[in-house]
Amino acid sequence: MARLVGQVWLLIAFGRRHAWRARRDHRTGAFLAYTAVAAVGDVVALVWSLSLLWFLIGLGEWLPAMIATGLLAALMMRRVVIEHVTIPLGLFRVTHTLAELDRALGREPLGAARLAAARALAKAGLPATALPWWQSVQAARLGAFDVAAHAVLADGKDDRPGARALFESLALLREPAPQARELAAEWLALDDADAGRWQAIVDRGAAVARPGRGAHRRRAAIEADHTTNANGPAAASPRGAAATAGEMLWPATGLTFFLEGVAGRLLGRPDAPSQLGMWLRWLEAPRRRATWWLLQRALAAGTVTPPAPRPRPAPMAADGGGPLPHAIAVHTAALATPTAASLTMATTAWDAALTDAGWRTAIALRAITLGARADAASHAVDELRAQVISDVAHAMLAAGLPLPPDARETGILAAAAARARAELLARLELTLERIGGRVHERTPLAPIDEWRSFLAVRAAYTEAARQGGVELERLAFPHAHTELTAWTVWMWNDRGEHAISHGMTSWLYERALAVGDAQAIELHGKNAQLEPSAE
Amino acid sequence: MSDPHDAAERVADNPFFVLGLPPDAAARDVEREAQKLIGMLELGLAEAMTYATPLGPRPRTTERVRAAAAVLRDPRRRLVAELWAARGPAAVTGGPAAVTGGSDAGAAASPSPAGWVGALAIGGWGPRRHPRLQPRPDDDREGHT
Repeated sequence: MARLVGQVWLLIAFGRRHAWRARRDHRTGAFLAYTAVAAVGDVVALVWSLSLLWFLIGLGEWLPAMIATGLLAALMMRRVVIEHVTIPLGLFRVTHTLAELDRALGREPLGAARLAAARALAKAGLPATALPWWQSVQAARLGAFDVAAHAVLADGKDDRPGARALFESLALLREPAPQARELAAEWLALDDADAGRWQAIVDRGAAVARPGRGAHRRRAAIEADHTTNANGPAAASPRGAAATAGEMLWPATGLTFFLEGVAGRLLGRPDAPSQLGMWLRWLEAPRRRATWWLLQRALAAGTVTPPAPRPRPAPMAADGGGPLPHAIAVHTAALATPTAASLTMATTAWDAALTDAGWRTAIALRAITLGARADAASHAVDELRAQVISDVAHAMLAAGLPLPPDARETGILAAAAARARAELLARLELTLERIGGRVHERTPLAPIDEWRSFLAVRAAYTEAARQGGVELERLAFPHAHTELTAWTVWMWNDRGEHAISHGMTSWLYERALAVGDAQAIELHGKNAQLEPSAE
Repeated sequence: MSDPHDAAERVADNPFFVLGLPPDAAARDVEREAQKLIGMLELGLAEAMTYATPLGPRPRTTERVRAAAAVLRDPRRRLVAELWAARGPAAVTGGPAAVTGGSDAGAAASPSPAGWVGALAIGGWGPRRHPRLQPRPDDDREGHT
């Protein structure tokens, strides 16, 4: 009898673990099915545990009942206890111990316990007294779980941009860390939902093809997933195609899966879940009371009529008096709220005004009337032109507008774009030089700060490349390659920070491919094939 | 490179707008107007306190009036100021979408559905909210008990 009970127990335990893991491979009905199976397993385990306790208490065996409670909590219900008791209560030490046990018994990856402890620590309000303990449980080397743990702590300090940067950076790390990626995906989805970035949620969850059983736990599959991601946005992947971008990077939780459904329906996407699908996603997601109105909104979204087009603002009153007053009016309006079209219109107006021969003659005559020097008129026009170029260039940079390509044109727009491009390059060079100087002097930062520093450089580079286009990136990449390669080599060879060095190398490889730098492709391609060692 | 603030200041602080004169005003008119405005400002007369610009009315001060007059005494600098004042101080009407004809992608796209405000907090994220201490009834300093 005892043997039979033991076998059934093991079967349930195995089934639950398998189901919770298998749902990470899906963004289809299988996700719902596996979650349901796992939840049923949890309920059976709970009922079984309570029955045993009730039986022991009924016999008056209080001591065995208490021992059994502890054993069941630790062995059978530890994940439930961690998620629903120790983390919400901020019991970070207990969480860490239980999660370590979970790792040992469930063959979970290294680092998962630190991530769980970080969540409890954040719930506890990050007490200063916990810092020595937190330091004592840190791994010798930084990995994906640690990056996620620091993101959790940043979130606990209300540093949302910092948390977002760190969570997003998990996409650069190849280490199999499904729990960390799942958690990151949920946080990113919630942050996007908060800001109304529904399209970003859809993009992140766009991949629906099944990557293969347990693929999210295999480095090779994550590598392939990352390559797919690097070659194009996940949103572009057709449903059912071989592309699995995002699946291993961002496995879904019940809440993420629900939010993806909400986003799809709010955006009116053809692949959005049906009403029944939405109900099922809502049932499987936690915090159903809080998400009830969101469900109602998503269900109603399929029936609402598209919003009426916004009325176009009244056209600006025409400015009489010739091309210069018109150019000034358009310029002033464009600087107030710059867009690509308004700045193009302003620069076109300036081109017309500054090349108007009649107006230039009038300026020359006016200079004579004022008693200015002979060259004052041309100097005044040059100064006006320089001011306009400076204004437009700065407006382009401040608004983050993509710069028009360098077409060797001579107009104001081309001059402003060239000026903005030079400014972008100068800023980037300064950032890279600072990093290069620190690496050259071998001034180390804490591993997480090295990673944050890299993310800041990467963000500056990405933004500059986005604005300046591939022409600017081709100019910027050689310097980035020189400085950042030295950094990756230092991190790998001297400091043994393989995970983050590999992340940097992978990114450099991706950018080398983007600009077609053959030498860099060869170098980073070789380096990217090196396997980061475990902690 | 000028930042948007500099560009706006250049437009708004044009000496001709500050003095309320047309770009072709004679030098003696400039001096007379500057003296008149300084006197009115020193007397605190309301009608001298603001001046019209394409970016809306701005406060007028004696320093601005003196600076404007100084610029207009220099023929080279005056010439540049005349160019920027060519349109006059009438406010620019119509937004950037009007200027562009509403053709921007951002303007043409349908607005994104509203977000789920407070989603992170509802999802159990964010900093732990500590209960606020109540101040003593006779003490304005919050948090002191």
